[in-house]
Amino acid sequence: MTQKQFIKTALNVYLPGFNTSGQDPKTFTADTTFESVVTKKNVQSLLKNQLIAFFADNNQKVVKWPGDWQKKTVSELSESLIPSKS
Amino acid sequence: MKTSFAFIALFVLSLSVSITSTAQLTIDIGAAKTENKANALTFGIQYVRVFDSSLQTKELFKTGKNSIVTFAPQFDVRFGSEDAFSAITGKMTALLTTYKKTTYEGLVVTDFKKTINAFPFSVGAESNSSFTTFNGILEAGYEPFYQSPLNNLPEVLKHTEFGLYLQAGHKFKGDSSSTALVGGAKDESAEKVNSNLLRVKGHFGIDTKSLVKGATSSVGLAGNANVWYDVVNKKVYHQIIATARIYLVNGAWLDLNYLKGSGAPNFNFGDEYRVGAKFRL
Repeated sequence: MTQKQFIKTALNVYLPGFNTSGQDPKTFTADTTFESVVTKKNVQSLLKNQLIAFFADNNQKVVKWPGDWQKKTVSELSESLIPSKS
Repeated sequence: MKTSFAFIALFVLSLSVSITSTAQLTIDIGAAKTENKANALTFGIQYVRVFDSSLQTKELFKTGKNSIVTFAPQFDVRFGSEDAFSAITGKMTALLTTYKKTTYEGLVVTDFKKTINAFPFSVGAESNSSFTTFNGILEAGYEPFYQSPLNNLPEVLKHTEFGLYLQAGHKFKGDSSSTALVGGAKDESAEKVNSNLLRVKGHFGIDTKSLVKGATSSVGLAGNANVWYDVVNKKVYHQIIATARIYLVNGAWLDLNYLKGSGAPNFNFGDEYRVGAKFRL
């Protein structure tokens, strides 16, 4: 999985799926933070649980999840979790 | 004195957690009219973070065909001056979810049209702010997530939530130097010190979110009801929390609350009115 695929899937599947903020999903961008869309703490735990499942289901290695992941933008989390192939 | 020290130590520990970590932390500060009609200051700290001990170099999880288990510590502190309701809970939760899969651009993803079934299994402790007793608790629960905007269920259902839990444990004697607790601080449960606990808990919540939207803020209503059946003593305890919420900028909000019943561990039957602001850090 590439960072680009992760960003696209997060914006089009996971953030709209766990959207508890009432925001229009059309406003979500790579600069959107997870906590601005998923406002409830128990749902944030569920989002992390399902993102790890997403990695595992697609045979993507799961590295250590950043402690402040929900404060990161979609773009920043993709950089933390998926090494660049450069 | 011993109690006050423990109370302050716990508060300082909680604050230090907020400073040193960037976890999921919510702090609320408020004023309350207690069961004894006293004016009290109230504080609340809710803390949930990913399990990422510095000793760990990789994420802890276990997957199945359509399931996954992840781990998270949680910390919830509610206390106040005078005889304000208090509850302190710390637990480690293994979150098992079962979910349906679909595909998106060739990738396997969660199917949000279907309910995600969440089963939290926790081990932890609960006490009041005077630490007169400690309950060691094992808990197994079921909390379905059907509130996704992509789920096909009727919209009105997505404003609700429910959970069912089985709680088992033991009630230990705590700080015996405390003065007698009165009003809303009194332990009114039938659960006896040095005895085993077994409860069935049901939770139901409803949240309208923003009902009336203004230029810089909005107003909503929320209600939460918790019911416990004390299997050992054949007693029923309840807690009802009615909230009018004013959403402010930067994720902060102002709550006007009416509480009937303190909930675990005191199961006080009194009531309390609160006004307070809540901040996410």
